[in-house]
Amino acid sequence: MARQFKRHDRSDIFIHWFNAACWLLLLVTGIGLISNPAIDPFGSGYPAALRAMVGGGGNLLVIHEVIGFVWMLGFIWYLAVNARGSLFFLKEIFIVSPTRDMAWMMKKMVLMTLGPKPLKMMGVSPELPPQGFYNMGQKAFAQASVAGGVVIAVTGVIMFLSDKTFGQEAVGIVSWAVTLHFIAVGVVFAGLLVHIYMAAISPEERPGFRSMFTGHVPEDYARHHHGLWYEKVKTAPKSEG
Amino acid sequence: MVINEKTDTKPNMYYIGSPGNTRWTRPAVVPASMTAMKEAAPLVKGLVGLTGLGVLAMLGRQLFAGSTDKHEEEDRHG
Repeated sequence: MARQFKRHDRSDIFIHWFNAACWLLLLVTGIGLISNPAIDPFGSGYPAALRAMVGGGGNLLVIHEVIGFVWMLGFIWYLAVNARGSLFFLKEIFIVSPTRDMAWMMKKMVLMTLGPKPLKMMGVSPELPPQGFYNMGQKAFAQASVAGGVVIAVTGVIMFLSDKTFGQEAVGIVSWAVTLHFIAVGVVFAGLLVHIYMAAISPEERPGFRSMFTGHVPEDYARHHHGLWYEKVKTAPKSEG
Repeated sequence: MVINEKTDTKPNMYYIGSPGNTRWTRPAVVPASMTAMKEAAPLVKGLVGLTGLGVLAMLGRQLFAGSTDKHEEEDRHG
């Protein structure tokens, strides 16, 4: 069996799938709370049907809020049990090499949609620059998820408190919270489409997808897809990352 | 019923007693945040649509031209 390299521990795997499940439920319930023909992504039929299914918009809001708080508690738990892993993740995703990472991003987009020919025609090598623990595509989505997640959580709490502790003076803050909540969800969802395709449908990252269950990737995948990280860990004791 | 003549926001109020001078209504002001949300909505939908198109392009290439990753088979077999 090929040598395996550890990429994720159990808390990483748990928080990834917990986040995915919460996001799915929050998206489904959140879209159902929108009541404006100019904004509804799927028209007014879906929100009306969902609200009717759960006994009204008030119930749907309570369900959305409960899931939202469970989502936030999950992340507080993760930060408590794996602070080191969280810091490593933040450091890795926010350190970007403008030349290496941006070249990777541009080339990867062309390769994935049009193939290597356009690059060769322009005299550009289709060879991708080596990447670290995360490639630039993963970094970009993770950056949007972290920044968007903070905005979504903070604005969500503001909206939750709007009819409980806030008074008339907070109307401006609350109405901006609604707008920012909507925009942040939209931006992260746009990235989520690419993330799901790249991770679960494209064969390119299949070993990476499997590592979100097993925690490990095979040596060949590590060498070809995360060369800079592989160079750091290849001399580590077996099965360690 | 008092109807705001400048910006009829609906629904309007019926008054059992006299509301007095019905010209007391002011033009309704839409908060800047709500205007921003309405204006941002097509941009957000456009962004989601563009990434969706990108995903479809990648899926199309995967289905019709195969994977661009020459290491995929090696990875699969470890």
